[in-house]
Amino acid sequence: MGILLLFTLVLSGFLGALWPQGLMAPDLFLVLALLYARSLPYYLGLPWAFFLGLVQDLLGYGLLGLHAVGLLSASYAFYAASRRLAPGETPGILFSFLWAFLAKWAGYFLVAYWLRLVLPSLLPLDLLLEGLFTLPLLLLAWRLLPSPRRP
Amino acid sequence: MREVALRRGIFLLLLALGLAMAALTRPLAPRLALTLSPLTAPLPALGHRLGQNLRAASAILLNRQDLYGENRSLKARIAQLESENRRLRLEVERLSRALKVRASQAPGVVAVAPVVGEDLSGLYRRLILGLGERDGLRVGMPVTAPEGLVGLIVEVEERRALVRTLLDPESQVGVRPEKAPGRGVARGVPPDHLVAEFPPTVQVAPGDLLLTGAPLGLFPDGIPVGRVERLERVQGGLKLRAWVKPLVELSLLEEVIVLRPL
Repeated sequence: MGILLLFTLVLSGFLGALWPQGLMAPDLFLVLALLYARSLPYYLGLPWAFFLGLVQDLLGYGLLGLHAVGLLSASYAFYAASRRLAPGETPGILFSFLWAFLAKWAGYFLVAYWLRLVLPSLLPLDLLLEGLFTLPLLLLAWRLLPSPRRP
Repeated sequence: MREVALRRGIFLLLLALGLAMAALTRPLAPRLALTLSPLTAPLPALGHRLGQNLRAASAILLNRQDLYGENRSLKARIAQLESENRRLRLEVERLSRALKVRASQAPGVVAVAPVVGEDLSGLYRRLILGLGERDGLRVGMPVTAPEGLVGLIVEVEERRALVRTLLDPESQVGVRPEKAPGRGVARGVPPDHLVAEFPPTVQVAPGDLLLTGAPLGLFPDGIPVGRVERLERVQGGLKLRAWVKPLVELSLLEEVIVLRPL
Protein backbone atom coordinates (compact mmCIF):
# COMPACT_ATOMS: atom_id res chain seq x y z
CA MET A 1 0.00 0.00 0.00
CA GLY A 2 2.61 2.47 1.15
CA ILE A 3 4.93 1.54 -1.69
CA LEU A 4 2.16 2.27 -4.16
CA LEU A 5 1.69 5.70 -2.60
CA LEU A 6 5.41 6.45 -2.79
CA PHE A 7 5.50 5.28 -6.38
CA THR A 8 2.48 7.44 -7.20
CA LEU A 9 4.16 10.47 -5.66
CA VAL A 10 7.31 9.96 -7.76
CA LEU A 11 5.29 9.21 -10.86
CA SER A 12 3.11 12.30 -10.43
CA GLY A 13 6.23 14.49 -10.36
CA PHE A 14 7.68 12.61 -13.30
CA LEU A 15 4.53 13.00 -15.39
CA GLY A 16 4.25 16.66 -14.34
CA ALA A 17 7.64 17.33 -15.91
CA LEU A 18 6.87 15.49 -19.12
CA TRP A 19 3.21 16.29 -19.64
CA PRO A 20 2.48 19.06 -22.18
CA GLN A 21 1.54 22.41 -20.70
CA GLY A 22 -2.17 23.18 -20.68
CA LEU A 23 -3.29 19.60 -21.18
CA MET A 24 -5.18 17.83 -18.41
CA ALA A 25 -2.91 15.19 -16.91
CA PRO A 26 -4.14 11.77 -15.78
CA ASP A 27 -5.25 11.66 -12.13
CA LEU A 28 -2.88 9.14 -10.60
CA PHE A 29 -4.36 9.59 -7.15
CA LEU A 30 -7.76 8.59 -8.45
CA VAL A 31 -6.20 5.43 -9.87
CA LEU A 32 -4.56 4.74 -6.53
CA ALA A 33 -7.76 5.40 -4.58
CA LEU A 34 -9.67 3.01 -6.84
CA LEU A 35 -6.94 0.39 -6.48
CA TYR A 36 -7.30 0.64 -2.72
CA ALA A 37 -11.07 0.48 -3.06
CA ARG A 38 -10.73 -2.68 -5.11
CA SER A 39 -8.65 -4.46 -2.50
CA LEU A 40 -9.73 -2.97 0.83
CA PRO A 41 -13.05 -3.03 2.64
CA TYR A 42 -14.97 0.21 2.63
CA TYR A 43 -14.14 1.10 6.21
CA LEU A 44 -10.47 1.23 5.17
CA GLY A 45 -10.83 2.25 1.55
CA LEU A 46 -12.85 5.38 2.22
CA PRO A 47 -10.44 6.82 4.83
CA TRP A 48 -7.51 5.94 2.53
CA ALA A 49 -9.14 7.82 -0.31
CA PHE A 50 -9.70 10.77 2.00
CA PHE A 51 -6.06 10.66 3.09
CA LEU A 52 -4.85 10.45 -0.52
CA GLY A 53 -6.95 13.50 -1.33
CA LEU A 54 -5.34 15.38 1.53
CA VAL A 55 -1.90 14.46 0.23
CA GLN A 56 -2.95 15.66 -3.20
CA ASP A 57 -4.18 18.93 -1.65
CA LEU A 58 -0.85 19.42 0.06
CA LEU A 59 1.06 18.68 -3.12
CA GLY A 60 -1.01 21.21 -5.00
CA TYR A 61 -0.56 23.89 -2.29
CA GLY A 62 -4.29 24.40 -2.55
CA LEU A 63 -7.32 24.21 -0.36
CA LEU A 64 -7.15 21.37 2.17
CA GLY A 65 -10.15 19.13 1.63
CA LEU A 66 -10.94 19.75 -1.99
CA HIS A 67 -9.25 16.67 -3.40
CA ALA A 68 -9.99 14.80 -0.22
CA VAL A 69 -13.71 15.21 -0.79
CA GLY A 70 -13.30 14.44 -4.49
CA LEU A 71 -11.43 11.17 -3.96
CA LEU A 72 -13.71 10.23 -1.09
CA SER A 73 -16.71 10.67 -3.37
CA ALA A 74 -15.01 8.70 -6.13
CA SER A 75 -14.16 5.87 -3.81
CA TYR A 76 -17.68 5.78 -2.38
CA ALA A 77 -19.15 5.73 -5.89
CA PHE A 78 -16.80 2.93 -6.84
CA TYR A 79 -17.88 0.83 -3.88
CA ALA A 80 -21.51 1.49 -4.74
CA ALA A 81 -21.02 0.58 -8.40
CA SER A 82 -18.91 -2.52 -7.80
CA ARG A 83 -21.57 -3.95 -5.50
CA ARG A 84 -23.96 -4.06 -8.42
CA LEU A 85 -21.51 -5.17 -11.14
CA ALA A 86 -19.57 -8.34 -11.79
CA PRO A 87 -16.05 -7.75 -10.46
CA GLY A 88 -13.07 -8.07 -12.82
CA GLU A 89 -14.96 -7.78 -16.07
CA THR A 90 -14.11 -4.98 -18.42
CA PRO A 91 -17.59 -3.43 -18.78
CA GLY A 92 -17.91 -3.46 -15.01
CA ILE A 93 -14.53 -1.80 -14.59
CA LEU A 94 -15.36 0.82 -17.20
CA PHE A 95 -18.69 1.66 -15.65
CA SER A 96 -17.24 1.76 -12.13
CA PHE A 97 -14.50 4.07 -13.33
CA LEU A 98 -16.95 6.34 -15.10
CA TRP A 99 -19.13 6.51 -12.02
CA ALA A 100 -16.16 7.22 -9.75
CA PHE A 101 -14.78 9.83 -12.12
CA LEU A 102 -18.07 11.70 -12.21
CA ALA A 103 -18.35 11.43 -8.44
CA LYS A 104 -14.90 12.90 -8.02
CA TRP A 105 -15.85 15.97 -10.01
CA ALA A 106 -19.14 16.17 -8.18
CA GLY A 107 -17.13 16.23 -4.93
CA TYR A 108 -14.99 19.05 -6.27
CA PHE A 109 -18.08 21.04 -7.26
CA LEU A 110 -19.62 20.38 -3.86
CA VAL A 111 -16.60 21.88 -2.08
CA ALA A 112 -16.56 24.77 -4.53
CA TYR A 113 -20.21 25.39 -3.84
CA TRP A 114 -19.73 24.97 -0.10
CA LEU A 115 -17.03 27.62 -0.03
CA ARG A 116 -18.58 29.71 -2.79
CA LEU A 117 -15.37 29.40 -4.75
CA VAL A 118 -15.02 30.94 -8.17
CA LEU A 119 -14.99 27.96 -10.45
CA PRO A 120 -12.15 27.74 -12.93
CA SER A 121 -13.20 27.77 -16.54
CA LEU A 122 -13.17 24.10 -17.35
CA LEU A 123 -14.27 22.82 -20.68
CA PRO A 124 -16.08 19.50 -20.99
CA LEU A 125 -13.25 18.51 -23.30
CA ASP A 126 -10.79 18.94 -20.40
CA LEU A 127 -12.82 16.58 -18.24
CA LEU A 128 -13.14 14.12 -21.06
CA LEU A 129 -9.39 14.20 -21.71
CA GLU A 130 -8.57 13.69 -18.06
CA GLY A 131 -10.87 10.70 -18.01
CA LEU A 132 -9.43 9.30 -21.20
CA PHE A 133 -5.86 9.69 -19.95
CA THR A 134 -6.65 8.22 -16.55
CA LEU A 135 -8.60 5.19 -17.76
CA PRO A 136 -5.65 3.42 -19.50
CA LEU A 137 -3.55 3.86 -16.39
CA LEU A 138 -6.32 2.35 -14.28
CA LEU A 139 -6.67 -0.60 -16.65
CA LEU A 140 -2.90 -1.06 -16.62
CA ALA A 141 -2.78 -0.96 -12.83
CA TRP A 142 -5.73 -3.38 -12.70
CA ARG A 143 -3.82 -5.77 -14.92
CA LEU A 144 -0.37 -5.45 -13.41
CA LEU A 145 -1.18 -5.39 -9.73
CA PRO A 146 -2.57 -8.43 -8.00
CA SER A 147 -6.16 -8.28 -6.97
CA PRO A 148 -6.51 -9.58 -3.42
CA ARG A 149 -9.96 -10.70 -2.51
CA ARG A 150 -11.73 -7.98 -0.61
CA PRO A 151 -12.73 -9.21 2.85
CA MET B 1 -28.40 -3.20 4.68
CA ARG B 2 -26.39 -2.47 7.75
CA GLU B 3 -23.22 -2.43 5.70
CA VAL B 4 -24.69 0.11 3.32
CA ALA B 5 -25.74 2.30 6.19
CA LEU B 6 -22.33 2.00 7.78
CA ARG B 7 -20.60 2.84 4.52
CA ARG B 8 -22.88 5.77 4.00
CA GLY B 9 -22.21 6.89 7.55
CA ILE B 10 -18.45 6.75 7.11
CA PHE B 11 -18.75 8.59 3.82
CA LEU B 12 -20.90 11.32 5.30
CA LEU B 13 -18.61 11.64 8.28
CA LEU B 14 -15.54 12.01 6.12
CA LEU B 15 -17.38 14.31 3.76
CA ALA B 16 -18.32 16.54 6.62
CA LEU B 17 -14.75 16.42 7.86
CA GLY B 18 -13.49 17.39 4.42
CA LEU B 19 -15.91 20.26 4.07
CA ALA B 20 -15.13 21.48 7.55
CA MET B 21 -11.44 21.21 6.93
CA ALA B 22 -11.81 23.14 3.70
CA ALA B 23 -13.77 25.85 5.40
CA LEU B 24 -11.50 26.08 8.42
CA THR B 25 -8.19 25.99 6.63
CA ARG B 26 -9.23 28.19 3.77
CA PRO B 27 -7.52 31.30 5.18
CA LEU B 28 -4.35 29.27 5.83
CA ALA B 29 -4.45 27.36 2.56
CA PRO B 30 -1.12 28.07 0.88
CA ARG B 31 0.82 28.65 4.11
CA LEU B 32 -0.30 25.39 5.66
CA ALA B 33 0.51 23.44 2.54
CA LEU B 34 3.92 25.10 2.41
CA THR B 35 4.58 24.26 6.04
CA LEU B 36 3.73 20.62 5.45
CA SER B 37 5.41 20.38 2.07
CA PRO B 38 8.72 18.95 3.44
CA LEU B 39 6.68 15.85 4.22
CA THR B 40 5.14 15.47 0.79
CA ALA B 41 7.29 17.35 -1.70
CA PRO B 42 10.58 15.36 -1.88
CA LEU B 43 9.23 12.38 -3.77
CA PRO B 44 7.30 14.35 -6.42
CA ALA B 45 10.33 16.64 -6.68
CA LEU B 46 12.49 13.61 -7.34
CA GLY B 47 10.08 12.40 -10.02
CA HIS B 48 9.91 15.90 -11.45
CA ARG B 49 13.67 16.07 -11.72
CA LEU B 50 13.76 12.65 -13.38
CA GLY B 51 11.16 13.82 -15.88
CA GLN B 52 13.04 17.04 -16.56
CA ASN B 53 16.26 15.13 -17.15
CA LEU B 54 14.48 12.75 -19.47
CA ARG B 55 12.96 15.67 -21.34
CA ALA B 56 16.34 17.41 -21.61
CA ALA B 57 17.97 14.19 -22.81
CA SER B 58 15.31 13.69 -25.46
CA ALA B 59 15.72 17.33 -26.54
CA ILE B 60 19.46 16.77 -26.88
CA LEU B 61 18.85 13.62 -28.90
CA LEU B 62 16.42 15.47 -31.16
CA ASN B 63 18.95 18.28 -31.63
CA ARG B 64 21.59 15.74 -32.46
CA GLN B 65 19.27 14.25 -35.03
CA ASP B 66 19.00 17.74 -36.53
CA LEU B 67 22.77 17.97 -36.57
CA TYR B 68 23.01 14.61 -38.29
CA GLY B 69 20.50 15.75 -40.89
CA GLU B 70 22.34 19.02 -41.44
CA ASN B 71 25.64 17.16 -41.64
CA ARG B 72 24.20 14.80 -44.23
CA SER B 73 22.84 17.62 -46.37
CA LEU B 74 26.14 19.53 -46.12
CA LYS B 75 28.07 16.44 -47.14
CA ALA B 76 25.77 15.99 -50.11
CA ARG B 77 26.28 19.64 -51.01
CA ILE B 78 30.06 19.29 -50.74
CA ALA B 79 29.97 16.20 -52.95
CA GLN B 80 27.90 18.09 -55.50
CA LEU B 81 30.27 21.06 -55.43
CA GLU B 82 33.30 18.79 -55.70
CA SER B 83 31.74 17.09 -58.69
CA GLU B 84 31.01 20.46 -60.28
CA ASN B 85 34.54 21.57 -59.48
CA ARG B 86 35.97 18.50 -61.17
CA ARG B 87 33.79 19.10 -64.20
CA LEU B 88 34.86 22.74 -64.38
CA ARG B 89 38.51 21.83 -63.96
CA LEU B 90 38.25 19.38 -66.86
CA GLU B 91 36.49 22.04 -68.89
CA VAL B 92 39.25 24.54 -68.13
CA GLU B 93 41.89 22.00 -69.09
CA ARG B 94 40.06 21.26 -72.31
CA LEU B 95 39.73 24.93 -73.17
CA SER B 96 43.36 25.53 -72.25
CA ARG B 97 44.38 22.83 -74.66
CA ALA B 98 42.21 24.36 -77.33
CA LEU B 99 43.75 27.76 -76.66
CA LYS B 100 47.21 26.29 -76.84
CA VAL B 101 46.44 24.69 -80.15
CA ARG B 102 44.82 27.85 -81.41
CA ALA B 103 47.92 29.78 -80.47
CA SER B 104 50.38 27.33 -81.95
CA GLN B 105 48.53 25.61 -84.74
CA ALA B 106 46.53 28.19 -86.61
CA PRO B 107 44.48 28.43 -88.84
CA GLY B 108 41.96 27.82 -86.17
CA VAL B 109 40.05 25.36 -84.15
CA VAL B 110 36.73 24.05 -85.39
CA ALA B 111 35.91 21.88 -82.42
CA VAL B 112 37.26 19.99 -79.45
CA ALA B 113 36.01 16.47 -79.95
CA PRO B 114 35.99 13.54 -77.56
CA VAL B 115 37.55 10.29 -78.70
CA VAL B 116 34.81 7.68 -78.34
CA GLY B 117 36.35 4.72 -80.12
CA GLU B 118 39.50 3.30 -81.58
CA ASP B 119 40.29 0.71 -84.18
CA LEU B 120 42.54 -1.74 -82.43
CA SER B 121 42.79 -4.28 -85.21
CA GLY B 122 46.48 -3.59 -85.65
CA LEU B 123 45.99 -3.21 -89.37
CA TYR B 124 44.64 0.31 -89.30
CA ARG B 125 45.01 2.96 -86.68
CA ARG B 126 41.84 4.95 -86.72
CA LEU B 127 39.94 6.90 -84.11
CA ILE B 128 36.25 7.60 -83.82
CA LEU B 129 35.26 11.04 -82.60
CA GLY B 130 32.08 11.85 -80.73
CA LEU B 131 31.22 14.80 -82.98
CA GLY B 132 30.08 14.71 -86.58
CA GLU B 133 28.64 16.62 -89.46
CA ARG B 134 26.04 18.25 -87.25
CA ASP B 135 28.90 19.82 -85.24
CA GLY B 136 30.64 21.21 -88.28
CA LEU B 137 33.14 18.43 -88.90
CA ARG B 138 34.01 17.69 -92.53
CA VAL B 139 36.17 15.25 -94.42
CA GLY B 140 39.72 16.54 -94.81
CA MET B 141 39.93 18.40 -91.53
CA PRO B 142 43.23 17.95 -89.70
CA VAL B 143 43.07 16.58 -86.18
CA THR B 144 45.66 17.47 -83.60
CA ALA B 145 46.43 17.34 -79.92
CA PRO B 146 48.56 19.71 -77.84
CA GLU B 147 51.48 17.24 -78.21
CA GLY B 148 51.28 17.10 -81.97
CA LEU B 149 49.53 15.88 -85.07
CA VAL B 150 46.93 13.12 -84.75
CA GLY B 151 45.60 12.60 -88.27
CA LEU B 152 42.91 13.52 -90.74
CA ILE B 153 39.15 13.12 -90.82
CA VAL B 154 38.26 10.69 -93.59
CA GLU B 155 34.60 9.90 -92.89
CA VAL B 156 31.86 11.93 -91.29
CA GLU B 157 28.46 10.85 -90.05
CA GLU B 158 25.86 12.99 -88.39
CA ARG B 159 27.24 12.51 -84.90
CA ARG B 160 30.52 10.67 -85.46
CA ALA B 161 33.66 11.12 -87.44
CA LEU B 162 36.44 8.72 -88.40
CA VAL B 163 40.01 9.90 -88.11
CA ARG B 164 42.82 8.26 -90.05
CA THR B 165 45.75 8.70 -87.71
CA LEU B 166 49.28 9.34 -88.84
CA LEU B 167 50.14 5.75 -87.84
CA ASP B 168 47.63 4.32 -90.31
CA PRO B 169 49.34 2.60 -93.24
CA GLU B 170 47.21 4.64 -95.63
CA SER B 171 48.28 7.89 -94.02
CA GLN B 172 50.73 10.17 -95.76
CA VAL B 173 51.98 13.29 -94.08
CA GLY B 174 54.30 15.82 -95.66
CA VAL B 175 57.07 16.44 -93.13
CA ARG B 176 60.20 18.49 -92.78
CA PRO B 177 62.98 18.58 -90.20
CA GLU B 178 62.57 21.32 -87.65
CA LYS B 179 66.05 22.81 -88.01
CA ALA B 180 67.06 21.98 -91.55
CA PRO B 181 65.60 22.48 -94.99
CA GLY B 182 64.16 19.56 -96.95
CA ARG B 183 60.87 17.76 -97.41
CA GLY B 184 59.75 14.22 -97.14
CA VAL B 185 56.68 12.05 -96.80
CA ALA B 186 55.87 10.07 -93.68
CA ARG B 187 53.72 6.94 -93.85
CA GLY B 188 52.23 5.07 -90.96
CA VAL B 189 53.74 1.79 -89.88
CA PRO B 190 51.50 0.23 -87.27
CA PRO B 191 51.55 -0.27 -84.42
CA ASP B 192 53.56 2.73 -83.27
CA HIS B 193 55.95 4.16 -85.85
CA LEU B 194 56.13 6.29 -88.95
CA VAL B 195 58.56 5.92 -91.78
CA ALA B 196 59.59 9.15 -93.42
CA GLU B 197 61.55 9.15 -96.67
CA PHE B 198 63.76 12.06 -97.58
CA PRO B 199 66.15 12.80 -100.40
CA PRO B 200 69.69 11.85 -99.35
CA THR B 201 70.76 15.47 -99.23
CA VAL B 202 68.41 16.37 -96.39
CA GLN B 203 70.26 16.94 -93.13
CA VAL B 204 68.40 14.88 -90.56
CA ALA B 205 69.69 12.98 -87.56
CA PRO B 206 68.25 10.75 -84.81
CA GLY B 207 66.49 12.87 -82.21
CA ASP B 208 65.45 15.54 -84.68
CA LEU B 209 61.91 16.79 -84.51
CA LEU B 210 59.82 16.50 -87.65
CA LEU B 211 57.07 19.02 -88.37
CA THR B 212 54.30 19.00 -90.91
CA GLY B 213 55.18 20.64 -94.20
CA ALA B 214 52.73 22.36 -96.50
CA PRO B 215 53.46 20.70 -99.90
CA LEU B 216 50.90 17.94 -99.70
CA GLY B 217 48.35 20.52 -98.72
CA LEU B 218 46.47 18.51 -96.12
CA PHE B 219 47.94 19.89 -92.90
CA PRO B 220 48.92 23.33 -91.72
CA ASP B 221 52.64 23.91 -91.66
CA GLY B 222 54.65 23.47 -88.48
CA ILE B 223 52.63 20.98 -86.44
CA PRO B 224 54.96 18.59 -84.56
CA VAL B 225 54.74 15.04 -85.87
CA GLY B 226 57.45 12.98 -84.19
CA ARG B 227 61.11 12.42 -83.40
CA VAL B 228 63.53 10.54 -85.56
CA GLU B 229 64.68 7.36 -83.88
CA ARG B 230 66.99 5.86 -86.50
CA LEU B 231 68.01 6.41 -90.10
CA GLU B 232 68.84 4.10 -92.95
CA ARG B 233 69.68 4.55 -96.58
CA VAL B 234 67.55 2.65 -99.07
CA GLN B 235 67.37 2.10 -102.80
CA GLY B 236 71.10 2.08 -103.10
CA GLY B 237 71.49 5.29 -101.20
CA LEU B 238 69.01 7.21 -103.28
CA LYS B 239 66.72 7.73 -100.34
CA LEU B 240 67.07 8.40 -96.67
CA ARG B 241 64.56 6.49 -94.58
CA ALA B 242 63.82 7.75 -91.05
CA TRP B 243 61.97 5.73 -88.44
CA VAL B 244 59.95 8.20 -86.49
CA LYS B 245 58.24 7.87 -83.13
CA PRO B 246 55.11 10.07 -83.09
CA LEU B 247 54.76 12.62 -80.32
CA VAL B 248 51.14 11.77 -79.71
CA GLU B 249 50.30 8.68 -77.70
CA LEU B 250 47.15 7.68 -79.54
CA SER B 251 45.93 5.16 -77.00
CA LEU B 252 45.92 7.83 -74.29
CA LEU B 253 43.97 10.42 -76.21
CA GLU B 254 40.67 11.46 -74.69
CA GLU B 255 40.06 14.60 -76.70
CA VAL B 256 41.42 15.98 -79.93
CA ILE B 257 41.23 19.32 -81.63
CA VAL B 258 39.80 19.53 -85.07
CA LEU B 259 41.27 22.26 -87.29
CA ARG B 260 39.86 24.05 -90.25
CA PRO B 261 41.11 22.41 -93.47
CA LEU B 262 43.58 24.19 -95.67
